[in-house]
Amino acid sequence: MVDQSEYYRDEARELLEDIEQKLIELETQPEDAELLNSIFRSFHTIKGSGSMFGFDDVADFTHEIESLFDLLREKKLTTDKHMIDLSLAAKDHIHDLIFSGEKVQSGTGEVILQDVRRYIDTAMPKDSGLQAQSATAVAEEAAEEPKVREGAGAGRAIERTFRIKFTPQREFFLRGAKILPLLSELEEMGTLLTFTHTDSIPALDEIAPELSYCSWTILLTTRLEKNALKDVFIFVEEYSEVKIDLIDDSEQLDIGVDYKRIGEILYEQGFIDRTTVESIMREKERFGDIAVKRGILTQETLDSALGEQQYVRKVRREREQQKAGTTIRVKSERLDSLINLVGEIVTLQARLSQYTERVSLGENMSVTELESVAENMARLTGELRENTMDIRMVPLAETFNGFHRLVRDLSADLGKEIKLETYGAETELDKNIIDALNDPLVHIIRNSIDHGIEGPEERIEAGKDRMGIILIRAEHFGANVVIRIEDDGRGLNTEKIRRKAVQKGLISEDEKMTDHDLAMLVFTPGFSTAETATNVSGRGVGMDVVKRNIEYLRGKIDIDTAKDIGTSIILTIPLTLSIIDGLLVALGSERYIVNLSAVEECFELTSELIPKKQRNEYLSIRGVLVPYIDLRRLFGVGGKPPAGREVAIVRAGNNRVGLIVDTIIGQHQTVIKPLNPALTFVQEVSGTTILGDGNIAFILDINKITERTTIGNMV
Amino acid sequence: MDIEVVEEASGTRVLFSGNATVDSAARAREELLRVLDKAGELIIDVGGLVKVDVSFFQVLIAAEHSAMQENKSIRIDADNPSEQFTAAALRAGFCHGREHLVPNYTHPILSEYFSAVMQEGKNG
Repeated sequence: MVDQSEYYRDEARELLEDIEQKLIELETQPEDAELLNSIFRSFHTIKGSGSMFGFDDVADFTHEIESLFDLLREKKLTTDKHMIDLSLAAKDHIHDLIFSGEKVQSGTGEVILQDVRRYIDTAMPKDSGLQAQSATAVAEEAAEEPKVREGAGAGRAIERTFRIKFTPQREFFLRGAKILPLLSELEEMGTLLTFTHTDSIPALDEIAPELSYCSWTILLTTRLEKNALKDVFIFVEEYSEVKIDLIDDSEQLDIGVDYKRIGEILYEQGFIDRTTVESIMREKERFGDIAVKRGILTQETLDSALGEQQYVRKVRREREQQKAGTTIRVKSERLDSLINLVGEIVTLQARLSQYTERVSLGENMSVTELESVAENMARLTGELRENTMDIRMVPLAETFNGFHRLVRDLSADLGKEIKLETYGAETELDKNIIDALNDPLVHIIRNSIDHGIEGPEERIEAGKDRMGIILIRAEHFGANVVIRIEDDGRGLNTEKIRRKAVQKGLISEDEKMTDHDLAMLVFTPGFSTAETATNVSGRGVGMDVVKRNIEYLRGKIDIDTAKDIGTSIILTIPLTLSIIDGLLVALGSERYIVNLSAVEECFELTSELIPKKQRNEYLSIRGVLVPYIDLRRLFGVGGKPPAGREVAIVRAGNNRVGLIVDTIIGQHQTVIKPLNPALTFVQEVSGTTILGDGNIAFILDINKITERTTIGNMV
Repeated sequence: MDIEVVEEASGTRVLFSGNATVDSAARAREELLRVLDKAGELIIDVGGLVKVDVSFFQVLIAAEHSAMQENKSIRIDADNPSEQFTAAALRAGFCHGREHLVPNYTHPILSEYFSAVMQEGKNG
């Protein structure tokens, strides 16, 4: 049976997204009564349905927020930035209550409600009865600053896991310090897993019971910043050693579920040196077994490292599951059309059954009848494919809307004034692609805000408007969607990039490169020109990871930058990941698929096409020279090539290349299967597909193949 | 902290009650040393404890080391648990709660106590 609360979650997710978008609009249009009403209604629905589905904590919390909007609607309060901040924090908290459940930090909601009450007290006219009532409640609470704000500015909640190594000195207890209250304070900050190291505790006749012998490894998953964690130890730092390391970051891209190996964790924790790790790694037995057997580690230390490994994997797995468990809303007309198609297939199947029955009864049936069934089946399968793909297509609007909050919060944090404009939000992409695009887009926008767009003074000095602009445009382009993220900031400093690249040994000092080539170096792993890492984009995740993520989606990334004018990042993303129209080609007995959208034309390879002077390098296509690749040679296909070979001209970006094959078989609807991990070293192949006869065909990665020709690595 | 020692058929029971904090850790150690010297099997009874801190766990672990050296046995009686003792052990990381089953990390001195407390839901 479907869990009823799932319906509530789905509905609430949409309402909360709508609330966020409207709150941001309200900030610029505070007089818009309809916006206020709409937000009020959304909170009201969340509250009402919340109690119906057993989300009592959501209902209780939202009730007070709804009251705030009631006062705004009655014009007893006016809309200002602080009120928007509070409402956004409340919206985030409601989201957490609904989707994170027990993991929500205790006290967070109360802190927000206290802020709301305090806001009402100060903003309401002094003779208001409500003000007096609320003031009493506030007076009971000390005017402490909310703890949960430090994670703000990120737009979406970022969850990080820290490893805290806490080693009290022996005389810790003698100073009147206590350990359990510290751990208790950490517990309130998020999810905690604590390991005690007791190896230093001696036997009873040797122990001085008033001394401290233990140390701790504490894993804390929290939305707070490292500094908040440091503050917990502020009063004991003189007589203890505290080391805090970030070991997992929900914002980090492309990390998957796996985590460090045991040896690496133990090395990071300081229990083992690098040489020992390497020497044990060379052995065939399990790392931990050897280390304990040889007395290098105790079982307790090993358990804490294993615990860390499994804990982080669990955190990541839960995050992945949360991402994967999302649902999509489908327009009813798309479902209707799906049902119609299924109806037609059922009818066709009946026709086919009738046909076979009559043949089995010895009736002399015409092939034309069978051909007609086959044709209809081909048409219906095609339509069914299109329709099913359509169901997975969702507009980019939802993703774009989330960025308004990101830009608003981050620019405020950095003292910048930035406006976000989006175009083409109605552009649709496969749901999986949209989900996977979010993180790279967030990173690109963060970079623009942090490094691209200047502060207001600098912009005025440069003769620009004090308000910077980030534009996101999405549009269809053949079988792809092109997303451009443009800013009107200072542009990339290509001279600085050149210096850095030379310094890092990526290019030689006298290497001639265009500005575009230099700019593209920012996608090289480990490349960063920022002098100091910032909180915003300097988390050790570079543009190289963004590029990798885009390539993982079979997309391409490009950059266009001009000094003092701005930077554009251009993403070209395929519409779907699962099915493509392919061109099936043969090389000996092997079959390969070329994405049909990349194919411009096909023809027979004749000697006139290969000019004598350009032998082995270029084809002459109607007087234009086009580089070519003989796929037989590229893939080392044995045997003698047949006569009358054929060529397919393909295009990837600005590159046109001729692919020489034995035979072009024809169009083939290709269901893409991921490449077996053992074959991922074959760069020119991006996946496989199963053909009608059960054989396997490799899908060619046209981008990688055309790159070969542009870097002069021709076959 | 009050400490009472009772001889039973299965061993010597040491009953702790009141506050087992750093102020009373020295007394706990002395008493355990004394009993361990005479007894072969020690049963620690924490049922009467109302406040527990890390120093008490240190003394219990030290007692376990000594017992092992002298080929004696020591265990914490799971039939008479203490909510405060259980909570302090969990908080300090000497044991992990039910949600962290892998690896099932519990300090050996506490393993019998905790497996009973966690399985049976006993908690003083």
